[in-house]
Amino acid sequence: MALAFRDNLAVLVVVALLSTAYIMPLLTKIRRFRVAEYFAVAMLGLALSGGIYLAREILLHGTFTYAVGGWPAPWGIELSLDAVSGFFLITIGVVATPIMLYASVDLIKEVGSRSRAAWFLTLFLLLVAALCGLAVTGDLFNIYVMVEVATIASCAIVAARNDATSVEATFKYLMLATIGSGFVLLGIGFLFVLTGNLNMNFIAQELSMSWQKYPTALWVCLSFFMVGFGVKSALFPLHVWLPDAHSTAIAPSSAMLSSLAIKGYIIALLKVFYVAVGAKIITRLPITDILTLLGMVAIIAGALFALAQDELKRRLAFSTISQVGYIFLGIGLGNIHGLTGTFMHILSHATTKALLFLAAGAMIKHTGKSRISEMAGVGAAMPVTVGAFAVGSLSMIGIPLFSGFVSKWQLLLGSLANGNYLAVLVLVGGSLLAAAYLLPVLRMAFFERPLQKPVVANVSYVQLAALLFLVVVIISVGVVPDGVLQLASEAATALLGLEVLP
Amino acid sequence: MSVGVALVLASIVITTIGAIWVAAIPGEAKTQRHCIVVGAALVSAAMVWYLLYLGLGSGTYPAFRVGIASLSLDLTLDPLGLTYGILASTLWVFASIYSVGYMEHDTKQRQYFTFFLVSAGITLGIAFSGNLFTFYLFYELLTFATYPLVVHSGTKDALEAGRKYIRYSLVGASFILAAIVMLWTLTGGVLDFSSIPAALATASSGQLRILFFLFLIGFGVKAAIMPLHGWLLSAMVAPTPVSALLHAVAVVNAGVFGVLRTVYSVFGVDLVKSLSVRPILLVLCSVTIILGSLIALKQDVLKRRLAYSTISQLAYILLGAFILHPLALAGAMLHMIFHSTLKIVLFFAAGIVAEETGYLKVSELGGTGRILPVTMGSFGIISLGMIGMLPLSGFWSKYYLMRGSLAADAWILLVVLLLSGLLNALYFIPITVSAFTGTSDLKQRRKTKALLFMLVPTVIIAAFGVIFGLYPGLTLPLVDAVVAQFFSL
Repeated sequence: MALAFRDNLAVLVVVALLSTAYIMPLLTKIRRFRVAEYFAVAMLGLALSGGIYLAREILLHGTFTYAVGGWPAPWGIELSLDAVSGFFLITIGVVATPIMLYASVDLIKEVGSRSRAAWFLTLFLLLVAALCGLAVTGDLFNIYVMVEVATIASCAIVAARNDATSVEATFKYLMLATIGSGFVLLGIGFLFVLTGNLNMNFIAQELSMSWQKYPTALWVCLSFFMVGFGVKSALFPLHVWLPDAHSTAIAPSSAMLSSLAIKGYIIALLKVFYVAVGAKIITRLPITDILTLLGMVAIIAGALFALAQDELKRRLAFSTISQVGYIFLGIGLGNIHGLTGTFMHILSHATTKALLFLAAGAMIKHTGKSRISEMAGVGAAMPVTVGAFAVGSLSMIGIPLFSGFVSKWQLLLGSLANGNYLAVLVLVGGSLLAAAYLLPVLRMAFFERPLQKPVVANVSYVQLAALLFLVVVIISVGVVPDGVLQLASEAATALLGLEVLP
Repeated sequence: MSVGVALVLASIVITTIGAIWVAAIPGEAKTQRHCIVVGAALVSAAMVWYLLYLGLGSGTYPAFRVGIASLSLDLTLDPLGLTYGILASTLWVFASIYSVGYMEHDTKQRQYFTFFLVSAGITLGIAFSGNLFTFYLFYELLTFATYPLVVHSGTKDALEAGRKYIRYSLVGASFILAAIVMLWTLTGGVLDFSSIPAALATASSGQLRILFFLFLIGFGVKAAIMPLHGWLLSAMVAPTPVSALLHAVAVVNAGVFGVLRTVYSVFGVDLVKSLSVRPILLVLCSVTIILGSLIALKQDVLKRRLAYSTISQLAYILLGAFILHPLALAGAMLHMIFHSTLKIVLFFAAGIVAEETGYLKVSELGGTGRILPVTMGSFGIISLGMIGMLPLSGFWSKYYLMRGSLAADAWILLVVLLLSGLLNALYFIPITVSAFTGTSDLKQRRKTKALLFMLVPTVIIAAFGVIFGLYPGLTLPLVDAVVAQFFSL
């Protein structure tokens, strides 16, 4: 009985979120808008607890699969629940819930009208459902479907406000993301032709026997995946759409896109590379070196671009490009510490960047100032919000006691384990650059003398609660990382196909 | 949990609670705030003193550990940490009383005192950390907690100084982080001070040299080894109690303490000896000592002169540590204690002069001795201690440093120490002489109401300088314990 519940829960999380998404417009018609919003928050909270439960089960009893509709693989779609799924489900829940809570306060005012707000809820939940789908699926075509759903939903929530700049940004995003989808689809086609399968475990079996016969084809196929997912997850130099899209959207959209949406594609890439193709093959191909190199370039270049921005949200958007570099660097390192670092950074960047974008959104909205150079005295006007921003900054820089340090530490260990001293230098330099682009915001907000007396801004308690929730997550992961770290390292172990933890 | 562990934790936590309390009460409640600040500092210091009593009495030191095995938060007492802890927490009490007077008319008192107390707790965290990770954690936090104090006035200069401070400190901390990661891979995950030296024994000397210099550059920033001292001078724009406490006692000593930990707890005496890096280190320190003193000679702004003097004096402590001889280490520990107690008086006195007369430059100080006899008197007497004259405490630390240099057959260091002493005399004595013989064109003294709050701590610490000079044996149990910890005699 318990097992049946557990198995069904995997698909239930996705299905429940999908159905909630579709009843949102109806619900907002027949009930007060608040009710729909809180219902969405509650469903996300349930998804989070489902994720935690599943992760616990996976840690206790090992991985398991679920055949959708009762059709076993390779004919049906198979959901494959391992530590990777558990980890990403928790990440999604822990970040999406506070973002929704934050959005619920003034959504109608932000997007313009009640019906648009209802559609925003639908799209938001669709995006979350697609990400959960990416976390649990074990099937390549299913990945493609989920990637498409996520892409369309993210494009739409960028355009939520419907003003000229955000529509332009959306168009740019849509074009590039579609090209990315094309590459992904081509890659899937290649893998299907090579192996005759869409189920990732079956592909892995086929490839392990026959990959040496078609090294070039495999190479091309993996490059397609790298470019396709690289565009979608803003891997430098394929990032050009991101700064516009993430800085023009409303705060909850920016937070959602920067913290979770791009991570979904990274999880998909991880699954294709390490599950479908397999760690043994992938680490023998130079593709990991390319990822390491691109990751390092992204860390430095993204941070340098961020330094040059005066608009707060653009600076945060470029910071995302830099931080995505850390994640790719870990994937490229391809050892246990590197991948653990990748997972930890997926979690810590998701929580941290969500916090930063939400806090920045509140700062910009209540003071009407979007440029860092105008922000003198904001700290005195809204101490809790800017305080939360400070916590996010310290975590992003990688100060101990905050979650960012835990992931950076693992990445450093991973780099040293590969003897990659350049990566050590880049990681440390990236932290310094992060300090250089985030600390001036705090200096401006707290310590510069304002030109005129600052207005006291009252941020609503619900939004403060959302910010504080993220602050608590960041600090507790930073202080007591045991549980998540174990899950992350299990996930890395699962991907690498190692038997026991060293 | 034993009493000791509880006290170690409580001494850190109580200042943090005090800080939160200060931040929570309204800005107008001055008296209440002052009571909390002084009270928290006092209670915390009392706890550390009791720990000293426990530790020296029984020779056992409690340890406290949380977190996962690899990166645990680990607080342990040892004689070296206790010395730094006692020094910082005691001087913090006096500095908090002084601050009450000095910040009387400041509009951002709440912010000031919050971070003032937070820094106190973090400094104790550095003192009591039992592994490198914990050390790095508190060391990094100290930068962020003291930044608001440095930029307190909010002027352009202050913000620029703050920027410089953060840049230097974070770059230094990155070196330390790189060193810790490298150490981790060399030792296979051992970061405990008590077990690192043994775990390092298998590493090659080339790797160890790189490791050593990574640590040295990292800690050298806060220890203001030339040429890493730039931040210290700009940071003198901070309010005087901050300059006094952070830039003569807590922050710079945290750097020095880090170097001591590196040499004695991470590598151990034998390993450092085998690396044969000693000549470079001694030259580095000698250059800093002489250059610091020479540049101090040319400074007209009093606080800048004191800052260069600090740079030079910190190098004395490092010199003592690098000689790798028991007597020299004793000298280094004594100099850490005595330099802090002496230098804080000089800063306090400079602050009082600036508040009462508005004079900041040495050339303006003529005749101030007659207006502020007690202040300038303390300044004069204590500056003699700084030079190293008997019967003041500064003599004894230099005495041990010289004996250590001779015992290690490095007589050239004797010349360095004597020459620097001479330079100290050249830049300190004229100040006192002109203060008491010159004439002042001061029309009106400001008559600060809170003068007493500033004067009393100054005079008390100055008295310590004399008492330690007359009875140097008072500090011996502690210094002996430190030496015995690292040298098997």
